[in-house]
Amino acid sequence: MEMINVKELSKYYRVKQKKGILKDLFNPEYKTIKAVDNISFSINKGEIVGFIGPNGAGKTTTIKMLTGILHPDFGEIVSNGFVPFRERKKYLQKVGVVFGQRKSMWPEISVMDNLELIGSFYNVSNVELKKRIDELGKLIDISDFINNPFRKLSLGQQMKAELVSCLVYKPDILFLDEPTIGMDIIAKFNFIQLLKKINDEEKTTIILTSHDLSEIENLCKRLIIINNGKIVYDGDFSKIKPDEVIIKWEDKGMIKEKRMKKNKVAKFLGKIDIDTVTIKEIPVEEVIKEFYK
Amino acid sequence: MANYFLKYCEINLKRMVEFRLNFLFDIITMFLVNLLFYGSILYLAYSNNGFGEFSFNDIIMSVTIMQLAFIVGIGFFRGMDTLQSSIITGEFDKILVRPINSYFHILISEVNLKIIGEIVSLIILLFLNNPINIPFILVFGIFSAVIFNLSLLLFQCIPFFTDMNNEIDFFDLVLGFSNYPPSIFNSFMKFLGFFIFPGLMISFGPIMILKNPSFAYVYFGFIAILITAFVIVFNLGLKRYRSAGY
Repeated sequence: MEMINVKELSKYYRVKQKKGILKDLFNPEYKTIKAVDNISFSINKGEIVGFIGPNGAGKTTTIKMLTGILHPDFGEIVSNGFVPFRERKKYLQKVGVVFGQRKSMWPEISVMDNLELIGSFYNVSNVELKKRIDELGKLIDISDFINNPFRKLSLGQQMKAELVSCLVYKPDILFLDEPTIGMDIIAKFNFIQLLKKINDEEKTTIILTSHDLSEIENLCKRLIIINNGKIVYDGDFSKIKPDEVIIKWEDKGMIKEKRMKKNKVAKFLGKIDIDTVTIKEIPVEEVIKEFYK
Repeated sequence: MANYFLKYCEINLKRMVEFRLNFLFDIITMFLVNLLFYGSILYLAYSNNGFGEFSFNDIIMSVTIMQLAFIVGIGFFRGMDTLQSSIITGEFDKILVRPINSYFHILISEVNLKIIGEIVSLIILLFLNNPINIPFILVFGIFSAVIFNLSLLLFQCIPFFTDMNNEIDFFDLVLGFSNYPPSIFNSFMKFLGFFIFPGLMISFGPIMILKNPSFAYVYFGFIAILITAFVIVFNLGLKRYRSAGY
């Protein structure tokens, strides 16, 4: 079942060019930046999609259009049966959004007070809220700091609290824009496990942007790569994984190196005199880098 | 909606109690500022037997209405004061990702409970008025609060179109116009004070209705124009909203 359908979506920004004080005042020049340029894709219910791209590629703008924050200049979006920017209020009842760079909680009050307030926006009673926090607590424990003011938490703790605030009302779609900023390795691991569990048990559709490819690799079967506002890849993550390895071996005291397809490695190793050999996978970042160019 | 409003009040109270000494100090300071401010206007009006066509009693009524309008505006709907900066910094996203009415959310997102000092001054002002006028003051205080809130919100919407904070202190201009009777201004300044920075409309508009009932058309017509203008400008602004970052 299709959850999100995006057709020929575009968003342009007009940016003033700096030409000097007088020129800027009397004859300003503007440049149009195509933040998102004619992109189309669809996402099925229960899919986890990694949405990646270099800085300024248009990821956040796309997510903001999908959540109804920004109005597109051209194109169509239908998400969970709604046009987000037109039916924002109804649509957001079942949508969770976490922006790693922008906190949605009120800094001066405790996490619990924040959760109660946010819960009230989604008609979650305090009893249901506590039950849900306990359920989520098995994988993302916030009990140590739930009564502390949000501003006094570490960045990782703040992100955990933000994520819990989205999950308490069981959204159908979860948009996560660089959500693991500031998390330590254990917290990141637990975060990924939690998302897998939520996706598995509640069939939540998840769209995740991150610069950490291992995170995307662990979580997302499908990958959308965006660069300069255009989609440059949309498909299985496994298909872009390099099928080559780098082999290093010692031959008569000399270190030699060769790059070859994985399926030819065994044949090759049979041909040479093996003393010491190292086989290294080519990091996926190398392939992704090509898309970013 | 009332539920959210009470929740925000509770949250703001908790927020302020965390810095209790500061909270107490602010309440006392605001009370003293109000006492001096209104005391000086009333003293001048009393010594001069009113200002022009406005009697001393008219002046008391106008300052009470103005005080009530400002308490409602800057106390309970303080959020409107932050709209401008939140549009520039992208903090406005925080309002837009929640499934509640965004106009209402902006208004209630900040409740300034430090206005207790101002409420005490309002009570003193109400006692100075003729008791017969109290219902009129309360009703028109609310209408004037609507004028104050909507005009300030309209002003706060400008960054949707300019991507820049406005340096003009709109609130100070409104307050400046609201202190003095319309008769001291020339026609251009009167126009500014009634329709652009509507301080005169907030404080003296209701008194002018008492003196000349046909002024009610201007007063309520202005409210209707403000509501229409706000809905149009805000919705156009939402379409143009850029947030921050790509």
